[in-house]
Amino acid sequence: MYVDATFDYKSYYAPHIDKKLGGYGYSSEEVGYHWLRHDESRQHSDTGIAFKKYQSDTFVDLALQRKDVPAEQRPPPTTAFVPHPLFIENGWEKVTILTSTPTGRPDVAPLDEEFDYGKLTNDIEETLSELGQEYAPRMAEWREWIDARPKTQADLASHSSLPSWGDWPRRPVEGASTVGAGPAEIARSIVLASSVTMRAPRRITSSVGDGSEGAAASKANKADDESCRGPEVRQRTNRVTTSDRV
Amino acid sequence: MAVRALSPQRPARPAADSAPALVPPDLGEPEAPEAVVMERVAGAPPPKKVQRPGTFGERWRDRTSRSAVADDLAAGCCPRKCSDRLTVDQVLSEREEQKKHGSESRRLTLRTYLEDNKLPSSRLGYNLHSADGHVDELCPAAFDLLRGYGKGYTYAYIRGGKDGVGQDDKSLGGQRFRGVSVEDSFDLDSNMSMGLRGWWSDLRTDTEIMPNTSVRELDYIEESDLYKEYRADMRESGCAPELIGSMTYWRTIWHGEFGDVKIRKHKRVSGKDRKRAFLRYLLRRKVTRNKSDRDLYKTLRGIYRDSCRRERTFYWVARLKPAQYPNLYMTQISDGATQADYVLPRIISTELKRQCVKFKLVGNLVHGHAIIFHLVCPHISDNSNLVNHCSDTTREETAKVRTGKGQAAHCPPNWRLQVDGVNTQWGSTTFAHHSHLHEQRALGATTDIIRNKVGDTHEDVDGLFGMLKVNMKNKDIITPSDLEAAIRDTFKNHPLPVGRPPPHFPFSCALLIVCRLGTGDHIVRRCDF
Repeated sequence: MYVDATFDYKSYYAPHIDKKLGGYGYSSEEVGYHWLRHDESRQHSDTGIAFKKYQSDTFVDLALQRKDVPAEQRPPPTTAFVPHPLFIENGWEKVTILTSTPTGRPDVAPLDEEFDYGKLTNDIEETLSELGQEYAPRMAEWREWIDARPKTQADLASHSSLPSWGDWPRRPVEGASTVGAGPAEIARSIVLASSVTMRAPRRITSSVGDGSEGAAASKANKADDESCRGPEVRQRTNRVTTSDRV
Repeated sequence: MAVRALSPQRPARPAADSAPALVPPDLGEPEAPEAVVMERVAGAPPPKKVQRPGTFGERWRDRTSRSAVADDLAAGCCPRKCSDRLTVDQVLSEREEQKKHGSESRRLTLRTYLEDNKLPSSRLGYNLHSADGHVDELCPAAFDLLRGYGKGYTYAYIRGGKDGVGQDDKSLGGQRFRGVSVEDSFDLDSNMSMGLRGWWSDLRTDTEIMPNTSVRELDYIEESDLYKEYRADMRESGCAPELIGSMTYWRTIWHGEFGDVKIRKHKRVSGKDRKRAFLRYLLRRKVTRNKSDRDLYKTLRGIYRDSCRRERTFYWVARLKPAQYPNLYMTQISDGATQADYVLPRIISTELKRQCVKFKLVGNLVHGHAIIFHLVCPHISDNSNLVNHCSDTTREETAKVRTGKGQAAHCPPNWRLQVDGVNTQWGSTTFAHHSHLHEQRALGATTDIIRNKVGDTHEDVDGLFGMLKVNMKNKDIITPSDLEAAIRDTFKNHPLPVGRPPPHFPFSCALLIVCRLGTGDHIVRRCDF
């Protein structure tokens, strides 16, 4: 659907945003920050939220003029400046964004008072008539479209293009080990979780040991192998032969 | 007379009807230099002489007869039988029009036609249609039939267009085609021509190769000013005035031997990145006369470009992950199209007095899942409310797509949004909303909001807008429904630019383009893989 109405996110969040939040934007002097990370594992900051200036840990910038270099590293003003690369090491800077948790739901953003669909209708009508008779029938289509647009605040509130609020599909709570983990770590944790611990049976025979534990284990394994000889079990298990056991 | 054999690198020139028959070189000619004979044997064989019946005019008269057209239509074109959609009258009318052209004019007309009818969303890349517009998306063979061209004529020019051939090779191709000798003697390597070659060769090293093309671009400069630079450089190097080539000769060497060097069409590519703009300024030969200083700036530019490229690569790596690990990653990029392109009504080649309805088009590309377009009505302001609205509705649509594929509706543990750097997108309200959603577990355990460096924000979502712009170029868009139709038409055959999963991929994946347009959600295309 057309975007006919939006929530007033600005007013909804304004009272909750940290009043001191700033310094992340682009300006004529600063390139700003490029990465904002929210991290449940709080690896990068104890607030769980952090900014980073660049995505690379070391961004190779250029100093083309004297003012591109930090004050303490600038050459004397009398010396000719030679452009050179500038390695900018940057890490995570912790931040708070919301100082309190918003409740309820946002209102619908107010109508733009300066916008006038009446004037727009006249403009379209005049334009189409200037273009020629063959364009005149398209005006009916325009009228239908303009009629369907919301004209009052009540129209806006009932508009179906608004997203739902509060009933978002929520991510289930994960185990601490998988929070923020990449595919390799997850695969490793799954594999390790399926591991089985066993104690090696004592097989050494001498005057101080008879290796009976090992013999009993071999016997039990063999008995189990025998029980798996049936065709239906053989089919079900991709069985290795005894000789494959090392 | 020395006749150079056709170089195997050059595409074979299609048969043109007006040209006199090409006389094949006689290998036994006693005066032919030995080297030339060897070149013929080693390279491509000379084209065989094709004896065409009748004169040029007679042949075209034959082609414009009703019986010839009927025969051609009966013969058909391709398995799709595109030519079955053509009528005899349509073909006759177009052939009559083509009959008026000479061969050169016909080539030019066809090239211009192809340039004006690009259709990136189609497999061919062009929309070949009849002049009356009733029959479109013809195959090249059907188009040959329609216009009375020889078999393969249109296809050869399509290939040429894709290879960047925009005009006849004035210095070589035309002469050779007419059977006139082409001097390749070493006598032509005069001091003047060598001076020109040296100058162009040096200039070429100063240019930057453009991504995905073989073109090397010079910063915008008037051609006459560039020629003046050549004259000045030659004079400074102590060259005798009579050895400085004329502008025509200078241009001949340029297009003949350094054709990959182009002057950038626009005066500025990006002035947003101050350092890039400043480096470009410093690299102008007028600004920095000293070659060694220019080399220094070039090296600095290379370092800076690599660094900026590394920053952008983070996005291009991340966007592949949702297709590989849909249960772990979700990435999306959001951007707005150039608003000037979506002012309605718009009529081709007509400047209207008023700009009536200014739509905004916001594209959200959710990698591996969907492209979601928002057509923003003119009464909605472009502010952070709109940015968050688009983010929320995109997530809603993506949840439907994921559910349809048997995946969980909620976001996976790693969620990444790339936005533009303007303060409506990269601002406190956007941060607050996504922080709130993160706290509510509506986003990932790791939720990243990222913007590229200013001046480096042109990514794949802009490419989608570019496709739309090309498709809309030759269309009258009068009403919003025309605009919706144009959007649907552009993406009806579009394979989403996402990485495909490996063969053992266990999930049923689908690429889906959803337009939040009209009443309800219109699925433009779904292609399962």
